[in-house]
Amino acid sequence: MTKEYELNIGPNHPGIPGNFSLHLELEGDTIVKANGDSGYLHRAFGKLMEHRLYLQNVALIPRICVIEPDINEAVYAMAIEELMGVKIPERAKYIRTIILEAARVNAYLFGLGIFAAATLGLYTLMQWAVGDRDYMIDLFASLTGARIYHMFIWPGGVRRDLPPKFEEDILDWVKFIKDKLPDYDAVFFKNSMFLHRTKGLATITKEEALSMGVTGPNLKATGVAQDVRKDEPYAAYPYLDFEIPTMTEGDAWARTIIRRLELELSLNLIEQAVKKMPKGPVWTKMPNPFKWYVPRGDAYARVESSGGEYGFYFVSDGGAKPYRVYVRGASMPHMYPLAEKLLIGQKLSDAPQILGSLNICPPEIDR
Amino acid sequence: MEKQTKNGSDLKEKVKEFEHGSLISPLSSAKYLFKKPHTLQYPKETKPIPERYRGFHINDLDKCIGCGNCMSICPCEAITMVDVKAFYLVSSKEGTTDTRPQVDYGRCSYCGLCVDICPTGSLKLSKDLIYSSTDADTFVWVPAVEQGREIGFIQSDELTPLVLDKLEMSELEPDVRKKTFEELILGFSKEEAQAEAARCLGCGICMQGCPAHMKNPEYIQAIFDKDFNLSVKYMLEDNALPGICGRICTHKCQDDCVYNYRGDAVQIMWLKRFATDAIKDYSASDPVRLPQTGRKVAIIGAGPSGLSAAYYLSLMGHSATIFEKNKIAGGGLGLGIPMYRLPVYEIDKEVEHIKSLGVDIKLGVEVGKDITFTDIMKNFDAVYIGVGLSYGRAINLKGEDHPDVIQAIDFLRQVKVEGRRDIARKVVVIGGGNVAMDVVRTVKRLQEVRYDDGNTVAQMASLEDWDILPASKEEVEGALAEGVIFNPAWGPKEVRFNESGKIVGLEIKKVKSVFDENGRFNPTFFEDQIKTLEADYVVEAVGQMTNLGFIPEDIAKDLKYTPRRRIFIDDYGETSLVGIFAGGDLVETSLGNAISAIANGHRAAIGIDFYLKGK
Amino acid sequence: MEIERLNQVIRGTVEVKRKQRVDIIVDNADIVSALHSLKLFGFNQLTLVTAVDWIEEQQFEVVYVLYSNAQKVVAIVKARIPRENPEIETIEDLYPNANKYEVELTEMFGIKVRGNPDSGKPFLLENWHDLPPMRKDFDSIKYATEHYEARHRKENND
Repeated sequence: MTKEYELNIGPNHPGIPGNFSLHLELEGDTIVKANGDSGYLHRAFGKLMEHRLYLQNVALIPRICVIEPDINEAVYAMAIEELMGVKIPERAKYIRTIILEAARVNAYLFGLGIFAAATLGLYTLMQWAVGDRDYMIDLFASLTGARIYHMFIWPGGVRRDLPPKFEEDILDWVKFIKDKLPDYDAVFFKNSMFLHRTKGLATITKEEALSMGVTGPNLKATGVAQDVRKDEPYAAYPYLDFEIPTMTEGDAWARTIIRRLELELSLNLIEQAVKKMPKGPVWTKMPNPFKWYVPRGDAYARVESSGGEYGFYFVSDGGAKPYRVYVRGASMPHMYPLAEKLLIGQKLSDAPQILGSLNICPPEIDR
Repeated sequence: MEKQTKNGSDLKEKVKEFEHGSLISPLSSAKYLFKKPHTLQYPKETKPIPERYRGFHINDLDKCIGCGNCMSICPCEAITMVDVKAFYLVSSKEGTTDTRPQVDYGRCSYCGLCVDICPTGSLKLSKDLIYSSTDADTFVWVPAVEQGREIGFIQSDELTPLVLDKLEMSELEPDVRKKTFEELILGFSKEEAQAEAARCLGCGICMQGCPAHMKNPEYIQAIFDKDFNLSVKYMLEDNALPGICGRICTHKCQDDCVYNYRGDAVQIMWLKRFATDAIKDYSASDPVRLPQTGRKVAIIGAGPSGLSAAYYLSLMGHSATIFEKNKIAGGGLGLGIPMYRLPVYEIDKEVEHIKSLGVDIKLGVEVGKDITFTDIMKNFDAVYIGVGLSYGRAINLKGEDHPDVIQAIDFLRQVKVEGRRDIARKVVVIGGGNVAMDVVRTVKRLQEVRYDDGNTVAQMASLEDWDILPASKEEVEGALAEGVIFNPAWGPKEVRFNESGKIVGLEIKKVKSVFDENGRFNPTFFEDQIKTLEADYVVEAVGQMTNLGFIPEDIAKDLKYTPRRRIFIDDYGETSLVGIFAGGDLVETSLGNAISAIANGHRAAIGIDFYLKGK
Repeated sequence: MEIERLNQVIRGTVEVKRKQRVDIIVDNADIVSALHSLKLFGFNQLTLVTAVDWIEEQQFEVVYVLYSNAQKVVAIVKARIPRENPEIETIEDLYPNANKYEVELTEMFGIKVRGNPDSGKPFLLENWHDLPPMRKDFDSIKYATEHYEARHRKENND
């Protein structure tokens, strides 16, 4: 005999990737209805930006998401550059690419580590991944002066040129992670436990994914090679040689393996970018911050984040502060409605894997 | 296409690897049991801190000028400017404040924008970010240079949000301009003015240096916003003659501009000139018009201070009448300043504006001659004296009573007002100030126009050597470019004549020192080092003086003077005589320039308004 | 580019702003039909829905950002609606992920979405009784001072 009941998971729960809660209705251990509940970290970045000068926002926006802050700096800069018609120097493009890819690797390491540990109990991967990520954080500190919130990509280019020996150091780190990958595979990606728990779980079809606005690894796992880096290349991506990995299964396993492949791709991209990077200036002069007006108009700037398409819809009224900024986080459609739909009919014990495999980042929903 | 399939098949291979799991392979992690751990044993082991590390602030309090730009740029409102006099000896240098940034580390985001914007470069971030306390209130302090706190993130001169370089102002070429009395500074175009205005940080440090404390940041912002009427309105709030000041001001504001520390000062004066030139008349820019009060004020002298007093009095609703002994208004501006610096039409524009408010300017009426001071006292509710220093000061030079030895002020008046165009071939000007520069450059122009054989000499002899020459740098450079010969550190001895009584030269002696050990003006000479400059005409440009003879003896005897023989006035410009106000170059606070005369006039207008209301 | 053909199927102004960007301005009444046509035209993904408060003109501008993954073009559909009693039609049937974006519009701007059952339900805010916060006339500093106590710090003179 089954009994219906309601269960609330979160907002602080190891099976939930971040600060949101999930309201489940269950029959036995089968989920019949799932409702997400967001709002635990709503900070109204759009509103905050309306009150700050263009330069001041550089210090604010990385805080939207701690896992991968640099994408915010990049889209913010790109939106302003588009409205002002500013071209950035070649070297700055490469530096941006290196930063964005390194941040992506960090995000994957962190995300996969948490996924393995919190949902499957495989703590080894988390400890390795988070530790290995820290070496890149040290490199970020030597490049930008800060560990997490770099505030380094700003409109016109980047804030400083590379410090001495940086190229060497980052290539060492890339090699270090590459050498570590077989160990990652052995403990996690080729671990039977992981395979059994995720294969065939919460499958999405290509059509469903497209209709719901799903992007990033979650979409690539269904066989769609959609990636902003290829489709609307920004920074130095037009100059780099790469293919977008796709899989066709569309299940939790495929979504995770795609991240593993993307991780490797990013490492390759960093190597390419470091080797191809030209010498030269790193910044196109921008106006005095107190007299910095951006021409009236709107722009939608987008980049590929570790979660999918990430963008700012940016409106200027010609004044000294942004008139309106809407932050488009990749996770919004991944949670609403994707996760809510995927959970229906699944076992309660699978819910963490499903959510973890979608790599939902709550700050992108709340903002 | 081929490559793509190749990559595609590579990918399939790769994915295949993951399709089969193993329960044994995870055990390979056991090998890490025998590897060195990655953890550092803090505090025994520490990581090296990167060069650019963004930690707590370091601020060189001596270098910091308290401009507050760090506070304005701070996105977190973490910085407040606090008065540090209680615990730190601040120098009271002009262009600085007694405040220094105080940082709330509960708010600070360590973005380093304050460091990037810092105009002096005093602010840096350190490599230190460790501080702990149970009292949250202690996370606020005024950063200074501290022992053991290593420098981390510093500013860069290339990658700076400041726009360090000024826009070069275009002017007539020296070869062209020395032959003409056309205005030599061409002025900004709209785009140039916009670009120069865009450099201003808006900190307002420049307002301190200005005797009138003009609202420079506001009017520059208005220029940037292309609202020139508003810009001039901000100017007129403190300065009745902005277009004139936009040309001839001593621009102390620019000396104080924070950009001086790392680049070129914002060219505030040229911006002022641009905005006033951009609008035809100022009628839309008067800051305020109060209803008529029916009170009458007499103003003696139509110089900058008199015009300024008249302007503000009429804004406040009083009727002002100006008595001017000369045939033109403008005082020292109209008479003394050469046309290539200040064209007559520019003075006319601003005088017309003041007249349009109902100010009655009676030209050619000399008080004491055409009208008595007593009559004025009788017919008006208050009197303002702004007669300035309209008489040249003689230096008791042997031979100076010769008709070919002339006072600078008379010479300039003859050229500008009376249209004098004749000039000798060899002229010596005595003096090293801005007036002397005006004279010598005027002489040069007259010579170039009159003699086209190039056989002319215009030279100067000044007590001061190059390093202490009182004239402004621009003036000296301009004169040099036009071919003026300088004899710095030479004092006049006597004028030499030939048998027929014509001047043949000026004998000068080498200066030993200009000031004595107390810093007082007291020149000494090497009496044995003498040379003679060939000359057939000599102009004395060593200073001016006033003449208050028009005030009847019984009134004048109660007039108090300061130790430096200037008229004593109180904080509102009132003299020791009730209802009689004074300003301009007659009073102690004057720096002998137009802008401080304008400021005096404004202040006296406020004083007169108070006086009339209380009467 | 095929995009030029959009003019024939959409009632509104279509402007190719740059490579991969199309601006489409439609009337309030034509939003749903325009999006419908765009979906048939290949704009198969909804990237975001948001609004801009043009308070001086007393209008809201509702913005839909669509993406065609076949043509790799972003279309930005904009419609001005009056600021008084703002209402739009839902597009949830066309793009399922529109639901929460529309809920957000109601919550942050007070724009009612007809046909969206969740419009008006709280999403990111809780117990909100003030003006919708993303409106330009919502003063966040005033709200903060009214609802939260400022921290008083003792004078620190070291």
